Amino acid sequence: MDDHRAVRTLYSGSSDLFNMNEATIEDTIPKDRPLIAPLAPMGVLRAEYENGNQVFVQQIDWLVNNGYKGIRRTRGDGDCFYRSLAFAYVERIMNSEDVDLNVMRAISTLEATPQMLLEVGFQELVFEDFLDIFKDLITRIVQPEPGRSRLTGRVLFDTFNNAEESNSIVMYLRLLTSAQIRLAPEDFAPFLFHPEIGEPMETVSFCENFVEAVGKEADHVQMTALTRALKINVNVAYLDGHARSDGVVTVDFVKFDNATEPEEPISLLYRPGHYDILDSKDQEDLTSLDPLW
Amino acid sequence: MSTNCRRRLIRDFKRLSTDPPGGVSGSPCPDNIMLWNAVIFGPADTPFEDGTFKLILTFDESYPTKPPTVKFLSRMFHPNVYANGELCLDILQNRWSPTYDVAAILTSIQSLLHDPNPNSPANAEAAQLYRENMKEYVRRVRATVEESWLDPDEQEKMKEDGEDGNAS
Repeated sequence: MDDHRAVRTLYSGSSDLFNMNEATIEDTIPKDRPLIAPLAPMGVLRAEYENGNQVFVQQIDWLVNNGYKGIRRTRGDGDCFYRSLAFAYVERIMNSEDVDLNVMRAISTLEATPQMLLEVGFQELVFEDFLDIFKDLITRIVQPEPGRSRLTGRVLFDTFNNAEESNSIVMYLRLLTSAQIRLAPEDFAPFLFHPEIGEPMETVSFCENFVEAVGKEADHVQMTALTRALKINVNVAYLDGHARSDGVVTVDFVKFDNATEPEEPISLLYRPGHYDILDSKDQEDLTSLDPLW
Repeated sequence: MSTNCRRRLIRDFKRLSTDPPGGVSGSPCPDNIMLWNAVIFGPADTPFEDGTFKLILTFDESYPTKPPTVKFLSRMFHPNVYANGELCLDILQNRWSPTYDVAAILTSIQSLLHDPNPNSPANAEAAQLYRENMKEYVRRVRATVEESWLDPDEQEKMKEDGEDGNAS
């Protein structure tokens, strides 16, 4: 949790900039955006900032020069962190070299989680369907169900744009995040603040209001808890419109390193109030037909 | 209809019928599992005591990732209930989570009855009386309690009579 304070200070003292960025994001992220969009070159995002804050433009260029050539955007519905993370998590397993091993690791991690949810008092009937949808999707990478195709980029994309399946996975991650926070209150309690009024909050109240509730945006605490529960590494690039004091423009990454074995992190892009997925590729082929096994 | 939604509603019903929380009841309409009738009994030691308030819950296939819409059929006098019976309750709006089932929704509404939130008034008059004139607030609530015992036709007639009375 060391970098929590660092993140807070990153935004304080520049509310105008924050508001400006908020306004830009509201303009550019319409509510009818798909839950998950196809991969697009960073130039698309850059074009939206060209007439605005030039530091944003330079930060986008910095990301491209450092290998982040593509962006996969998500709907700005408050679930975007969980949805981005879930999509990138499954996609990375699907595209990994040792698919069998990584599917097995993910499934065994997920199969240990219901115990956490039960321990903090969630009823099985509340979460079992959500977990089944998530596990089935990952299992389909190696083992298609009878009559259904193996998981491909296209199937993954369609699944995450199907509101029922997509929101079920988001909900499971919310409940898992909540369970992780409730199970380690001593780790999280000092960081539980009301996101609007900044007052300290009790663990249960924080979880009910800002973790379990649909559409409530994730902040550092939720991200720490979820990466810990899933045992993954996530890097979040903060596009904040700030140049360093010496005028040099870079992008700060906040790293959540909770993988138990060495692995490449999932990369997300944060602009105040919204998360998208970063990618080293700038396009994908979604036209391919599902190969039936 | 989505399988998840149906399965969840069936389990909500099982829970509500085998382990019912005190003072609430509910069940799906015989020909439509997406439409539920419910009754909340006014909590003891509150002005709502002895009332049998009827509600209707409408689910769509996004349940349980989205909340149902909930509406009182009985006429209510309460700071957080609109004239059309819709209510202002955080868990049904911006604080929804699938951890709430039908039983939890109904008990939350029941506790809202004796613990109104005057900061988000849906009925300004009720909110004002609740704050400033408890005696009159109680009198107005008691009138809705008595109405709640009547069957819906009689209630409808009383509403009409009431409106005529106001007009003359």
